[in-house]
Amino acid sequence: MNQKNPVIKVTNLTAGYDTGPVIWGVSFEIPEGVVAGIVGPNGAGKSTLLKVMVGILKPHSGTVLFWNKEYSEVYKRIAYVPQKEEVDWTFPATVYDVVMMGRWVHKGLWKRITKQDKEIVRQALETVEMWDYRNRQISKLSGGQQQRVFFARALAQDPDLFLLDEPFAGVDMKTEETLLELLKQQASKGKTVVVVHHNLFTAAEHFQWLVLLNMHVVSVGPPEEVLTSENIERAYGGHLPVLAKLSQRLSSLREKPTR
Amino acid sequence: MEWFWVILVLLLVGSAASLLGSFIVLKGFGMLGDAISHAVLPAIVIGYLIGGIYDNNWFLILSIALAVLTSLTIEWLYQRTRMYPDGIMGLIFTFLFALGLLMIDLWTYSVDLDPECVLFGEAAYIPFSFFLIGNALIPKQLILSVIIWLIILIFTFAGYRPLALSTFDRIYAHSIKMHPSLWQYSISALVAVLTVIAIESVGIVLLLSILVVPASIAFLWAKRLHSMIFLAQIVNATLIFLGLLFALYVDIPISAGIAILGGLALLTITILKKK
Repeated sequence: MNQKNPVIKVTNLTAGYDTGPVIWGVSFEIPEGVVAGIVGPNGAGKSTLLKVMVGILKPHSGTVLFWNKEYSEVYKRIAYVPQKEEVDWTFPATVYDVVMMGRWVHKGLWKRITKQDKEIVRQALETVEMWDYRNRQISKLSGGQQQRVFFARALAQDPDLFLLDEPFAGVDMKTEETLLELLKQQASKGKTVVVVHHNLFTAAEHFQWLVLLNMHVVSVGPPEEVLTSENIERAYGGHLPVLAKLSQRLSSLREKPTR
Repeated sequence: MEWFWVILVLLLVGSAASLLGSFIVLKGFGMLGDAISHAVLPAIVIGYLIGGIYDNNWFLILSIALAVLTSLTIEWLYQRTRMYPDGIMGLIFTFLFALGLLMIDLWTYSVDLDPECVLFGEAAYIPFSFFLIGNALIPKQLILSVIIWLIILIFTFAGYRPLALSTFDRIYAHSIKMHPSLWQYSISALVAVLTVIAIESVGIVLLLSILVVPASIAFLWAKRLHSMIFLAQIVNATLIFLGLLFALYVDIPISAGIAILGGLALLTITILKKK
């Protein structure tokens, strides 16, 4: 996997807010066609990293390249899914309206919505099993449904790279399973998926590539290489009982070849 | 004929206010007009010092300049800090209003300028009833109203997508290069210009009411943004006609009539509307 051209190449990235950097000298690559996780403890700078990658925050130094190009050249091919808490869900819009916003990146201010756009939106809604809810006002959705709508908007953008910020926070089990399945589907189509996530158990089980972050990059690579007890202790600082359990489970995973 | 002009100016300013109102209500910036109307006091004092009490153009030019500056500062603080909009607006407008009072006290004391006149615009901004009915002054108000209405109408239609997306989901809008900050700054600046023009033409009470009430009523009913904007237009026109009749019937200022009716309508609908 390493030999291929990376989809994302982050080099020596230092970034944060006026009060000072949150991430320091971060470098890593993410290969094509995987579901990758950016994992680490709270306050590790995971969401900050994602915001820098999509140009919302300016880095203090360092570079982020996608397919060896600047974000501004390829942003139409990249769908960013913010945390659902970032928006006001009382906004007057239906499920359909929000997903249609995913087409706007290709339409600019003026270009009209075509039959093809509507077809793409319908497919996106059907994929996340929300077509029947298309006329529902977004304030009347559950947390899981909100996340599905957000993911459908990303699908409607028809990107080659998905960047999702904590998509499983505050969603039901069913939605988490559905979304994980959908992310894997996208990866099997050759698209790349990057998920900011805090649960190492799901990360170990479902992601093929991990960036373990705690302000610095602790380790990068396939989960079985990244999630060693030594790395986890370095990232989380100190020995947590739950982490011991995790490394046990991981070593059993390592013994069996993955599907 | 005069009544035709009055109604036309009211409708144009009202229409423009309820277009912008839809966005600022959704953003929690409903009090922006209020803040701006107070914050322009220093500009009025300086306008007086430069041009004297009857020179309207200085008042207008300086007020618009200060109003835009104020609204951009409020927007800047909102985007930069984690402060809530009401806190920011409260901070900015009390500061500028107090600054205006200080300037009145320091510089206009010797010329016997009545602070009341400046505060409430009695002299500078002739009361709207006379202003609207008075023959000579109508054309200027009408021209200003038409211009600002056209600008805001085109702005809303041309910028519908970035306006909607930057109000609903700033971060995503940013990530797809829709320049949400620019559009949000533009909304604030247009509210500022409209507020100053409206102080002269329809009175501040009416503007503040029209900026918030039709959009809020529409928000309670509409499921989608474009229907909210459209509904706000209908509510605006209805309120203006009924408010005008109401004001004439009980013989109170037109702006007060419309504002009272607007408040009552919003209250009634809030109570009647099922959750």
